[in-house]
Amino acid sequence: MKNTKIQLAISVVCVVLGLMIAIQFRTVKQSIGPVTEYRAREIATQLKKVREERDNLLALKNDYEKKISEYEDAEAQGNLASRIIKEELEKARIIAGLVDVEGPGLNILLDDLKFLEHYSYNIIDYTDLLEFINELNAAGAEAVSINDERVISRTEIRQAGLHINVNTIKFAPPFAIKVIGEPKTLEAALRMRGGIVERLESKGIAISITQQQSIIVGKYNGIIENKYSRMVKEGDSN
Amino acid sequence: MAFIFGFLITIQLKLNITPEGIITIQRLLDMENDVNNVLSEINNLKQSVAEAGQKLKEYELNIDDDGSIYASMENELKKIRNYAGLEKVEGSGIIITLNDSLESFEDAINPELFLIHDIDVLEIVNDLKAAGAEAIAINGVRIISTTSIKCGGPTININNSRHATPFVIKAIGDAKTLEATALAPDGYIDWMEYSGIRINVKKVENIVIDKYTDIPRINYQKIVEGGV
Repeated sequence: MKNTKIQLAISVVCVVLGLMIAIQFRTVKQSIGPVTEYRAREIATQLKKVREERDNLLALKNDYEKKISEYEDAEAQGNLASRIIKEELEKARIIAGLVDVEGPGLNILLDDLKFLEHYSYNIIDYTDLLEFINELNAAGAEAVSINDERVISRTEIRQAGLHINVNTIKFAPPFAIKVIGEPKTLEAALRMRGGIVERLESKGIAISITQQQSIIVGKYNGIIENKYSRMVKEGDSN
Repeated sequence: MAFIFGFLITIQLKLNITPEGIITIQRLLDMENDVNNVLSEINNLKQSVAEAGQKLKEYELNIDDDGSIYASMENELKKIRNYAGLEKVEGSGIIITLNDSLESFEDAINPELFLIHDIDVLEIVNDLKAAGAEAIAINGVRIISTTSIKCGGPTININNSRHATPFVIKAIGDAKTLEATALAPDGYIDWMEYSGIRINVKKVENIVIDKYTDIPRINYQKIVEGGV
């Protein structure tokens, strides 16, 4: 008898206690809520605006480059010497990574599917990407991009906390790698026994590779500064 | 029991009330990162737009002058070839020399550590790029975007040429910054020295780096139709 009364009392106290704690949580949540939502809307607007500005600049650059090319083509019609120079220019632009290129190749995705479970670290680190690109190069890759950042001779792949910097742009997984080259050779090199795919998959990285008949690898849009190096004037450079 | 019950009921009531959906701090940080990335791109684009505009103007002026842009194209070709690594260059920088460890590793747990591997050279070159190196060569071989560095037994293959130690890495750039990056405590070279790999880093006033001489890889890629 007395026991039931006490049990009832304790139950009531517990319910009240539960309600009180829940209300505390709710208050804390609400004080983060509106501020976060406001900031999110603010950033989303800012993101949209800067993307527009970036796209406009890109369109302008492409427009200038097209006109430049027209002048060069017109000149090349004129005589053999000009035609040869135009061809050399195009070759040099391709090798330098300064033009959009297309050809057969692979579409690759590297992802850390469990990122949210262990978000204090990333199982894909910069060394993995470095080795991956190296493997592609060893297998004859002609043009490579990571998340549409073109890999040129000066491109660094650097750890920046949870992100990886490519051409100073910060990325988090997934990493989309596009490569132009002989598709079968490229894929075979990646999937070799004891090769890079095997090693990364055993670490828990999800990798998908698709052969493409035609893939576009975009051009490098950054700047190339020559502050410390200068061309050597040679007697007869070819 | 009742405590948990009361708690759960209240939480349920509150969770269903938020109108905008779940805005997490992580998503906010991601968006902020996106904004920063795009701002970086805009900065770079402003510069390259200015350069392209200038080139166009130069061509236009040439046509007005003598109807030919041949001379301009010659200059442009030199400039682009330099960007592509197809020109010999010189300038200040550093020279890093790597030699296998001299220590006896017969009883070592992992003799692999006493040798220089392709990943070591890859990492060092990557660090140099991050530190702004404008031109890099290993044992005289110019490094470009398609260069691969692979172990081939006792030697290392840089593209198709085989090289044995010592590995001499030359880099042109801000000598102070390059040296600081190479010698950084807890940096890659610092870590390598633990296993006795002999490393020497020195600043040099004038380094000459040869142009890339291998066959350029233009067998599969071609400029996009309608592109430049």
